[in-house]
Amino acid sequence: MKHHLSPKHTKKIGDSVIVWFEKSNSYIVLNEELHKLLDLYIFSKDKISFISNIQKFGYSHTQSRSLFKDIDILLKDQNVEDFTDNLKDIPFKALSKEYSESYNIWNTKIALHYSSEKVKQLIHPSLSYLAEANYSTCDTNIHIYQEKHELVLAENETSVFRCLAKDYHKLQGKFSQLIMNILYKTKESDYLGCFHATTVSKSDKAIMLIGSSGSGKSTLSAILQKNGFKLVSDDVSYMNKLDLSIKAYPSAISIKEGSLTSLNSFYNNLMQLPKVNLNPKKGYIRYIPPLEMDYKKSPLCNTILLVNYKKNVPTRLDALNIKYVLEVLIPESWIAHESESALNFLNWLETINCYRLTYSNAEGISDLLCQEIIDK
Amino acid sequence: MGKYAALTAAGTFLILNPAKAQSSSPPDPGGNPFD
Repeated sequence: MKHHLSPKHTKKIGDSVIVWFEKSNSYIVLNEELHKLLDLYIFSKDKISFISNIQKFGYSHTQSRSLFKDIDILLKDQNVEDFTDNLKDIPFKALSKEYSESYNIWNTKIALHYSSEKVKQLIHPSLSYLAEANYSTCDTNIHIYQEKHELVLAENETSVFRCLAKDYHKLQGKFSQLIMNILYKTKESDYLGCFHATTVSKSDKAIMLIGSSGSGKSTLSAILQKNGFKLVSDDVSYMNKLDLSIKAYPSAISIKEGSLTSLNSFYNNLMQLPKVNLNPKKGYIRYIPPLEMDYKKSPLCNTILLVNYKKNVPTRLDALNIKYVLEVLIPESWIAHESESALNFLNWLETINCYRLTYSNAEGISDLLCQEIIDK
Repeated sequence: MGKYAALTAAGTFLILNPAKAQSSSPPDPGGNPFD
């Protein structure tokens, strides 16, 4: 009845079916029965035949009518173009005063010019371990400045992004993409997406750590890098669109003040680490530099751990249905809005093993992950 | 009755939309450092 409203891609994983709609860039997770109903709606001749068909599944006439109405609205909703603001032309403004730092990131030199000490706090503490002791001029110059209520990001005196100052995490995100493009000589369209995840690797196998803010993923990565794992990226994990590898990102690991005590037995100098306090009501964030970042190797990832830090619980690693991972991963990640990336993402999901890791202390975690994931 | 109540009642039904742009962890609520 409505073939033109069909999802563009469909992937069955375990007992879930994930469908992707091109216009809305939505991923919808269904169980098999609901997927069958969706198909029936699309292929039924008309409303009467759909209702009579699904009554064979045991639905009452009232339920069948309600399901018809819901699927009808759903398919219409998913076939509305997703509107994204286009960046308007923003003229670059030379700064009257600059706070400049030069960084040597994996043999690429980049100068950053900030409009104030406060703006500098958005980026510098996470890269300060790569800052040069004395500022030197660089071929690549990035400006970050505040203009009234907005923040602006510019590359070589061309503005590339702006957002409201209160949304500074969006500027940090665009900055990370800009740095990736400079370091790897890539463009945004070379990436499938940027996952809100911390990634670690061992023996060329990557594990993506996901979870809401405060779930303990960065703290876990700081523990793991002291126990034979390498940090690939903290907080933002970029996936190459074609080979699905995870590219290293140079930011140091951000640790909230409240989590520092759980790292005392692994690090001696935590109180001397660079810190930032963007919100006076909250504590400091400190940045632990990566110990051994292997930026030339981009590992493949076939494990996602949903990290769940809790006080006073034994460490547990439990297999997890992919739907629980997707409901955390997708809304917090940027996934390119185009068919090839969506298909590659779904194909990648098919290869993924999902777990929930519950922990309260660091003891034994790296052995557990090696035993259950890396060495398997 | 909420939107998609019949679908939600009939089984697993999650609509997930990716973020529209790259982003670092959103700040904790409770203050804008640029105010």
